[in-house]
Amino acid sequence: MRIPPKSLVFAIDDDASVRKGLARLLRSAGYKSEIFESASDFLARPPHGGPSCVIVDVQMPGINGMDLQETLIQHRREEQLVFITGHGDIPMCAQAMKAGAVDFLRKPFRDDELLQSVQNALIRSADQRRRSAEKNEARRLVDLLTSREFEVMQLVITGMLNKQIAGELGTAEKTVKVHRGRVMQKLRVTSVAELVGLVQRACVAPVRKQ
Amino acid sequence: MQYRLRRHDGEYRWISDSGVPRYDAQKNFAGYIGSCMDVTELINKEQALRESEERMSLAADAAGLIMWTWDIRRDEVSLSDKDRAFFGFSPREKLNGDRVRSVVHLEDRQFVRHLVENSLRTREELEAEYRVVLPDGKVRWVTRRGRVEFDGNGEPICERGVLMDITERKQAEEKFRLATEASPSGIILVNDRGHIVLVNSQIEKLFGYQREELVGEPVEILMPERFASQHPDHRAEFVAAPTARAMGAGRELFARRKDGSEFPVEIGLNPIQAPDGILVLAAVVDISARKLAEAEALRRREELGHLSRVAVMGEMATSIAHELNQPLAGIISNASAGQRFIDRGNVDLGELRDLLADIVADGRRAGDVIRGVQSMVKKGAPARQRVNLNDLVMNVVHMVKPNAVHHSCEMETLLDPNLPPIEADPIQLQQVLINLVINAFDAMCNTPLSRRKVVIATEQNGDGGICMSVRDYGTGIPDQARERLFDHFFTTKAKGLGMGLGIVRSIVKSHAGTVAAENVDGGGARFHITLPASAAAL
Repeated sequence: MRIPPKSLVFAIDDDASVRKGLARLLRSAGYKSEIFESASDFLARPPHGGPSCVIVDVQMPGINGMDLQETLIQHRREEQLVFITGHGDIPMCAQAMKAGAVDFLRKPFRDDELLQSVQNALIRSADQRRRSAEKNEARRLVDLLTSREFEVMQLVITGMLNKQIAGELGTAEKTVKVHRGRVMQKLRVTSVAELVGLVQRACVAPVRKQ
Repeated sequence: MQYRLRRHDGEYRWISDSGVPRYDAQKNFAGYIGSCMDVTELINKEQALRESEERMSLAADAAGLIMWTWDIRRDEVSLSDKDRAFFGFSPREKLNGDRVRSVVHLEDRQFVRHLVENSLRTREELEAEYRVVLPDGKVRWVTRRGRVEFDGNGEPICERGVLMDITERKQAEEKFRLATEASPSGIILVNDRGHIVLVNSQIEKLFGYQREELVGEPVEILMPERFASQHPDHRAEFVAAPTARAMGAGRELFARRKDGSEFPVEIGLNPIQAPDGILVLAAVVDISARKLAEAEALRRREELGHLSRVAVMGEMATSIAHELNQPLAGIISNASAGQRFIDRGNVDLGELRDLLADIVADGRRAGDVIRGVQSMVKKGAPARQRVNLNDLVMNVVHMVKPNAVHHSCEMETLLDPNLPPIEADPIQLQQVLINLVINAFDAMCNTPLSRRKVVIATEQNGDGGICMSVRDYGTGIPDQARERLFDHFFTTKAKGLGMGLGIVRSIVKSHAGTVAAENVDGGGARFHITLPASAAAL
């Protein structure tokens, strides 16, 4: 099992035995980890700049696991959550999974079960980070376009020819050709297919239909 | 002839003068020959005797005594006119033994005849109680005391005696006897020498003796040997300070039947001042049935206690599962980690040692949880030991912590560090506290999260006792529930069994303590439990 680079696992449990056990187990499997006694302690730490998994106990005094999940979602954090619980509360499990948890494990959990969940969480976290990085990059490039270039780009990705675009925008075909070239250059793409992919990653709406 | 002379000192003396005329041969009177005797003393004595007899007769009359004399040789009975009238004899009628005996009740006549014959033979004083029938047909009880006088040859001369009407006393005695017989308790009357004077039929039934076997015997024959030896001392103490009281207060008393078997009893003692000393009236109640019922009630209470502990365990199942799952999670994580370290071949022995130590600690912790559960659901007699209430509170706080988290409820303790230990059953007190705390959680379902709090406090209450309280911030106790709060099977909860507070009360009671509930200013209820510093035995 390949651990995504720069991964970090956080374990939050109010029970010292569970914390210590988790820390050892993670270390034995080669994961770097940090343990916290409470969710607020964890939130006080600056977010980790790499794939992260948070193993969190559902039932804790103060901020419990469910509260933490909500807080992380509100702050658009990328940590992936693995819940552990001593109770096995079905409704809570459903709620947590719906809100995007990677897994919901009952204590005492099997080591491979937990480690698999952690691995899944880290991979998901890494994917998400990558996607998010790509999106940011795409948006950064799109932001370099002038508004005229942006208009031309929006029409290009619908598959229109230069002549059609010129007609649409009420300008010369030659001018459109110049704008189109600048767009391709600024966005560092060589084909319309590539352009479409990038624009999708940047989450830009493809057309503004008349 | 008797006459008085005046002596030279002026005192009059009675003289008895007797003389016989003397005649000479010619039968001429020759004078008197005689003697004078001073009989003053004799006369005085006679007079005194007469006066004393009159006084006796007056006294006898006043006392309702009938004095009589029976001249045996002449078979003649002398009786005053008044007494003749009492029996219906005419004043001039000649009374002989048979005539007098005719007033004796038919059923007693034979007995009286034997008595008299016996007295004539043995020369002993005669004493008897029997019935007589009066002219109007009424039956009266009399007691007769008489003494026979004999002449020098040992022949009976006369019998002198008194009769006394004892009907009232006999009636009182009969009433006493009837009351005694009617009593549902066994009644024993004992004299100041510890001898049984009277028993009722209940005693015969209880002890398996006939009353003839008991009357006159030392009362100790009704006791097991281990009590009998000290009993004369106890008796002496009682006679020295006779007051009505229960025998052997605080001790368990046992009585012994004729066949040697024993049974538990309760005995009430009453002194009766009689002319010939103190009589002790003992009322004996066989409490075997009550003891059985008490044992049964205790068993039921324990059963109920057990059920309610099981019920509490049910409510706490989540909590228990959590308590077990935590150390198990620790154990499995640590052990798995150890396996991985070994598999990877880079074992740090120090780390491995720590890891194993943690596994051992978690194993112990799980064991403690199981023991706690077992002790809660275990059946059995309560066991008293020295208990530090603060430790017990902290234990319970730990046990219910998962429940508290589940109810999003804060737990606070205000413990008096100088609390003296008490004699108590820790399991039972733990149950009391858990019941109260679980109730507190339930009472706060509708309390805003930020206000949900249970406060457990311990303190000394001044007179050596200990006070423990559990306060919540819930709905408080509704007025209509107040009176029945501690009743078994009374509940305000939708799914409640109504046993929690009932159990609380019976446990606290068995520790000689009290429990009370109040609504607190600022919301919520507070339950107070007061326990004596050294709770007395059950």
